[in-house]
Amino acid sequence: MMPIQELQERVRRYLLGQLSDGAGDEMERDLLANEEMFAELLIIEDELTDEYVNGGLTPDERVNFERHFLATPERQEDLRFAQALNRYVKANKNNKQMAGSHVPVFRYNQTFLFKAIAAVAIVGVLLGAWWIVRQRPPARQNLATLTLTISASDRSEGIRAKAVQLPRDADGLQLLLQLPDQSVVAVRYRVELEHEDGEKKSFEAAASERQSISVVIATAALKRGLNSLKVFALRSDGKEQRIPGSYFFTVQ
Amino acid sequence: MKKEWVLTQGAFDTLLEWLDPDREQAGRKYETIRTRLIKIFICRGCLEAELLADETINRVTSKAEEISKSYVGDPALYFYAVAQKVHLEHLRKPHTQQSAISVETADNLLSTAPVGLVEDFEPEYRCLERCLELLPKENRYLLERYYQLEKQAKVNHRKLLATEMGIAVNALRIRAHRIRLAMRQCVRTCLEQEPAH
Repeated sequence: MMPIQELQERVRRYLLGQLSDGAGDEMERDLLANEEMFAELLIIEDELTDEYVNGGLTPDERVNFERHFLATPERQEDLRFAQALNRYVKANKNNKQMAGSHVPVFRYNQTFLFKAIAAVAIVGVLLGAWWIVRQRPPARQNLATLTLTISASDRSEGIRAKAVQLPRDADGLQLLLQLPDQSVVAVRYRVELEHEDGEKKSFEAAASERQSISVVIATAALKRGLNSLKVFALRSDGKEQRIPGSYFFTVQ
Repeated sequence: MKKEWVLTQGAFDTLLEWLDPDREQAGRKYETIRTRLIKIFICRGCLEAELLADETINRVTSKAEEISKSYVGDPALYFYAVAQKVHLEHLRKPHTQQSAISVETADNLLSTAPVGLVEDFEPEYRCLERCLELLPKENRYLLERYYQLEKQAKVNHRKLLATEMGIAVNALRIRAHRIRLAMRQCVRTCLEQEPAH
């Protein structure tokens, strides 16, 4: 695989119609066969569109963008979305800046009593902060990690479940679940853990690297034996959709 | 006149079998190929990208029985070869319009403002605001911060954000893209549900 910057430059030139016919064909064959290349193309499409919106393209690039890239209705819709997003981000940034400038200036009178109360309050806050820092658990949890791929079956028979043995001092298990290629695009994910004894628990997952999500399960929530995970995606229309298949692992 | 070939379940089953002996895997490969073919046709400026992708798939399916016995290599590349022919035929049709802007017009635009930008994207903006409310706070925060600033300031800002989050810059880029994609889908759905003006 070529270096990432070279790949990105090649994809960018392809999208702007700047590759020769032969090079373009080669790119398209790579797109069909190579997941990473295709994923990179999707990201660079957005980045090019954002640059266009923000006036960041060179004059030649702008012409190619308008002539070649914007040729289809899909891309024109994406452009409208990019404009909306750009406006939102700018408006939100401005709102935050304005809010910052309206933080009321604390005015206090000059009495000795007030100064004394203020001093006591400051000392109290400092002591409280020190106590909280002392009590707070370490920022970094000690997690064991396991990567799982989906099994088409919901039944564990015939499945070789990956085994994990948690170290004594582990705070929990971080599971990286590789999603199938055509998973639904989700706003967020929920993972349901089911133990072989039938007990179920639900956890929120976070999007991780492309096509995978990550979920952390505290040690206290894990039981020895065979466990399965089902993933549910919250779609943009607000409905939850289960991603077919299950992930299996055994806690030893 | 050529006899129209009709897609049958048997032919489709043969295609899937050729893609992968496991039916579910085959289904996923089929969807992957279809999605990527559509994208390629879009990148080539085709207004009917989905139709062309489906035409490609139909042609491959019609020959699946024959191909599966003799073809060696990645099936996706066979689809590509057929897609090339489908595209050429499409270009030869007299009604085909490949580009939104003519070459002459584009050449005159070099010194003017971007013509692709629209002034009215209120529906998209309203939908985006609604969609953003569905996001977990941390994802919304990431999106807002990631898309701030422009040019070199943006590059430096994103490096800082990645460091704050404890992830590589490219991992941040991917994460932001996935959230943006979810919002894009959400806005699309929202727009479909908007009452017509």
